[in-house]
Amino acid sequence: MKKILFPLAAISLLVLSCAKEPLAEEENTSEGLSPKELPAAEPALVKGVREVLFSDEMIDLVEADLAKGSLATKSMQLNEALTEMGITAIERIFPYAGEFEARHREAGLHKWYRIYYNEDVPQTKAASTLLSIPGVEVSNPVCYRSLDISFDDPREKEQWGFHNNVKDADVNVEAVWNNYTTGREDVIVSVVDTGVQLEHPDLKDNTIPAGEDGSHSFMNGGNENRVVAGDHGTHVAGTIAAINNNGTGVCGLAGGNAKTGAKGVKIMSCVIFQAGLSGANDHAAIVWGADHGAVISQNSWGYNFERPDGSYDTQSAKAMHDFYMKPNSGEYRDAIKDAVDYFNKYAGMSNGKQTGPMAGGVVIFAAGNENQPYGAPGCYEGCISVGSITRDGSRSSFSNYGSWVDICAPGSQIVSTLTGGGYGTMSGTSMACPHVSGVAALVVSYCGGKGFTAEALREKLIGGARSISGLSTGQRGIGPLVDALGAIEFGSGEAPSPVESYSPEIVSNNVDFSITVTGKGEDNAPAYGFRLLASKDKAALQAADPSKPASGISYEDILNTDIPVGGKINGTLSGLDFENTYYIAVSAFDYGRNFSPISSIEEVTTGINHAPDIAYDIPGGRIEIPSFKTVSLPFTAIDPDRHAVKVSVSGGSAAVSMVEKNNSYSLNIKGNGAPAGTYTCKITATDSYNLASSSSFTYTLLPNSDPVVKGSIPDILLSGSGDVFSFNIEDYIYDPDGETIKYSIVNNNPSAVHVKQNGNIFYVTAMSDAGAAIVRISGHDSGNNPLQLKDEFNVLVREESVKIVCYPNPVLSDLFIATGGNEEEASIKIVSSSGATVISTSAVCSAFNPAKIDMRGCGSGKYSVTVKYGGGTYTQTIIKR
Amino acid sequence: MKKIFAILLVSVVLAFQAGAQSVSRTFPDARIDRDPVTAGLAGAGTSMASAYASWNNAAAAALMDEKLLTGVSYQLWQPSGLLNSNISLGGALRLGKRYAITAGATLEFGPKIPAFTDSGIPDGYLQNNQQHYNFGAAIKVYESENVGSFSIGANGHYLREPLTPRSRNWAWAVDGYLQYRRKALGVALGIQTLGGSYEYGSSLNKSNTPYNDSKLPTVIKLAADYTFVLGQDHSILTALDLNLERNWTFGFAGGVQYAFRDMVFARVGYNLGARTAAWPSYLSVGLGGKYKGFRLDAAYIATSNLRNSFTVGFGYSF
Repeated sequence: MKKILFPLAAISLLVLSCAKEPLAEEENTSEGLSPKELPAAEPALVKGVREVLFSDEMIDLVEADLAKGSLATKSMQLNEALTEMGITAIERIFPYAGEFEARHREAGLHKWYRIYYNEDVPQTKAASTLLSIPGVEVSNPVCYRSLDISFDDPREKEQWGFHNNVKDADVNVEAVWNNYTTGREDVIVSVVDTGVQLEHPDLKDNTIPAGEDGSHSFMNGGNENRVVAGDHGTHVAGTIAAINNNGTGVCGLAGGNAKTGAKGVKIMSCVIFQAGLSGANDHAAIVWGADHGAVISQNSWGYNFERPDGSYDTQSAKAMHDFYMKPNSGEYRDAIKDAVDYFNKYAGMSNGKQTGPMAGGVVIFAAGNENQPYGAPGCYEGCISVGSITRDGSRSSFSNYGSWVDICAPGSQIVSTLTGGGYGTMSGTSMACPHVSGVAALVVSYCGGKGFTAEALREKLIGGARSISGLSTGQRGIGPLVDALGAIEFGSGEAPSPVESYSPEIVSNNVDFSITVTGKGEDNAPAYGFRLLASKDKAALQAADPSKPASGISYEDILNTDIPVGGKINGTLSGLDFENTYYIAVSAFDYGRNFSPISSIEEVTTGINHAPDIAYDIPGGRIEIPSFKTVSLPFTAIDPDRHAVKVSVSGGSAAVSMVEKNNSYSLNIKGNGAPAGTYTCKITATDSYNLASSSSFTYTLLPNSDPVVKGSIPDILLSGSGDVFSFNIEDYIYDPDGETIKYSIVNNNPSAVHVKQNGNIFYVTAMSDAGAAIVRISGHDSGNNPLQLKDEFNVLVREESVKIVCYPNPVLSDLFIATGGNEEEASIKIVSSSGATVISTSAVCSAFNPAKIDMRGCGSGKYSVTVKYGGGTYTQTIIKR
Repeated sequence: MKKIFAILLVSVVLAFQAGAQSVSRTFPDARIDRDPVTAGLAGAGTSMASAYASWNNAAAAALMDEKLLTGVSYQLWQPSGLLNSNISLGGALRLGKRYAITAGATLEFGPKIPAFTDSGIPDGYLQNNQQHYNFGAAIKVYESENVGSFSIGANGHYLREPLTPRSRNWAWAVDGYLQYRRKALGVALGIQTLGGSYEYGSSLNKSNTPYNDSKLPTVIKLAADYTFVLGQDHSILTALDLNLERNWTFGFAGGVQYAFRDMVFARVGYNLGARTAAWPSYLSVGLGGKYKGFRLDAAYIATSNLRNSFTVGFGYSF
């Protein structure tokens, strides 16, 4: 069997748009400012606490008392301030330092104290009061602390595994970055894979160079202090430890923070794959990590059971899977198992003592990409095997599965570092595995230290992972989804501080809460959420376990995503009984659902239910709708108690329909949707407690009037190509309703004449110097009995210099003589070539009503036709045949 | 003699009758006067010998005093705006004392005529330029000092007029005249432009009967001329032509020429056409000059549809 890496598919770029804005940075207004320059406004400052620097004299005066925990000291002014400000505690910022106390005092650290006082005292007053005490040299406000998660890595937004705005299917790392850690440089992760590009610009600070004790190659069965980089290993390393916040590339789960100087974990590259080479010693690569400081062994590879013909050897895969599922003893003893066991036992240890951040190590393996229930050697119990999910939270189609898969992580379309200083996308359980390794590295970074064991890490990883329906269990399960925050907080057991302030307000049967966020732990991480509780029985509420409220106690949870300790978070407890007395309280909880004791209890009385308000604007109170129009009438239906509202409409006729979009409503009334007449429309709004209100209005559908024909469009004579004649169709037809009539145009000779409509104006354009066309215009309105208007007119085009046209020429029998555009009397004389007048007559004629001359009595030959009309005399030669 | 004359007369009448019921007035251009002298006399003077005898009366050439008459003329013929230009070339040669031959040709130049379809749409142009070619011969048959001289003559004509692409556009015609002359008097009787017909394609008569041929404008003509000598330098020539058309309409043309020393000439003439005649009534005037056998003549039509038509010619005789 062969080992294979677990990447999948071609590299493709996946751009994720992050709808969520990064957390705004907290302003540190105290840095570098003198006491008198401190701003009076304090929205971003912690209330009720200031840091002061006492003078040497004051320290001599008060230190002993303060050390005893007494607030009353030998400084009268300080005592007065105690009363004035409601001081509740005074404590050293830099605690007693033991063997280092002498140099702390030499540095003056012992003179810094933190003073806690009544939060209602404004910062400015507190500042001035403290500064007024002789012996207080400096009085500074306290700012909120948080790690900067506004990382400027440009491709971080593509890393959906870190922040997924499509579905709640990421590793929940931002809260860890924000409140706990971004990595630690004494945490070493050995990447057993292709070589890592150790000098990659986004990795170089977080890699261990090749060397006797560092990154190493195990190719050719050998043992080289040389690392040839490959894309696979580089990609894996980037997920774990790409440098954060360096304005370059991607983020790494435990990559540190370049801007603050926080170091990330270290990557040790142990090469067991290299293009063109084979026979790597993967066992030794695993063990190498344990012997050289790594506590996490990252392995995105496994055994390959693909035959040369491309078919999958299921039988062998199952056999090997079954082998590795057995304990490492007897006939099932194996070198890889020994290597894994070695790493688990000896990583972070030396001579039986813990030398690293964790006692023992964890070996993390990718589960494999064959979509099979087998996966050796990662299925060995000594490993943590990792399955893969897609961005929408479902199992990746390629991911192996089964109860042996311990945990899953994002593995489809993962962006990370590549060789050549580049970046790209890969898919596979290979990409999921480093997510777990990176979270493990974060946990060790935060929790690691003396006494922290690999077993505890495994417990935190698995116990802190979160279940996703369909993923965690079942035949094709791939375990719970790795959760960085869950892992950090798992098993801590410490709940946030109780809520002290929540400012309730009553709106009908709802209670609005405005809660001051509390925190927990030494880092004062903000509470993850708050449970709002209400009961009619005060005693029951007092005795309630907020994590499991008894029946009869109403409660709702609100989650805190980005509000720091001391900030305000709002929530509503709704659905209470109307006009009842309730007792309310709040409990804070952390990510692990450790609840604080409930807050102080307040008594409230809920109000009555109000019916929804319906509002619309009808100018003049009447609506008249022409048959060809559709009127849209927007209206609102709002419940003053913020209850959900259902709206129904009784339109009075089929002409009315209601449109609802995003809680906005409108009525569309179609003018020809029903017979003409007056109707009543009724709008009813009902709240979720079936209290309804209605409003009615009348509307009138006006009857349709047929268009009226005023006259016939005249024939048109155009003088040559480009000549245009226009007319307003309303001179010939109009609609009494003011409706726009739809016209269609049929032109039997578009090469001679072009007809175009622009609104009510028709433009007739000659396309050649001579030609004729018959144009038919049809029109109708939108009424039920549309008038079919059809008017036909002739268009004649001839050059302006041509005043008469005698046709046909040559003529056989009847000769037609066309004159000008208007009908008028014309005298006609036809003379033979001998000069004899053969025809002399007159006729009323025009270009469209030509005179007709019977030439049958004339002999064949040439004739001259002379026509007098309109004050001119015009001649044309014809031939009679 | 009388018998021959009678046979000729009957034949002429029969030929004249034939086709009298069909449409006539075809190709009237065949009878347009190309001679600038007789044109100034409104077409009268058929009984006089001229270089243009091949167009009508070849018999007059057999009795002429000159041995040779030649002439070339240019004519602008514009009946009511119908523009036609033509150039004619003619000659008459007396052979000995008894015989004479005649010849002539006319080439017409006209502007392109716009064609139109049945719906009045322009359809290109038509070109219609006529050609006439004439040949004739005559013989003196009797001469007596007391009685005078008689001759007979005939011309043959080839007429071509491409009216339409479908027409056959040519025809043959003949003239035949009997001429008498004694001193200052000349008389001629004959039939002119007697011949075949043109085929212009399907034509329709008044009763919508299609026909394919159109008869030529044959005419029976009786012409006479007399010269009054007024002293040595002056003379007055009078000429009169009587025409009988196919449709039994009569026409009359008469003219007067004043001559000074037979060198300078002034002419005036009038043609009287019946209402149904192929030729309208019109007044013509003319001028001429002659010196040592060379002559220059011009004629102008002053009235009627033919107003502003003129003919100018140059001739030589000996």
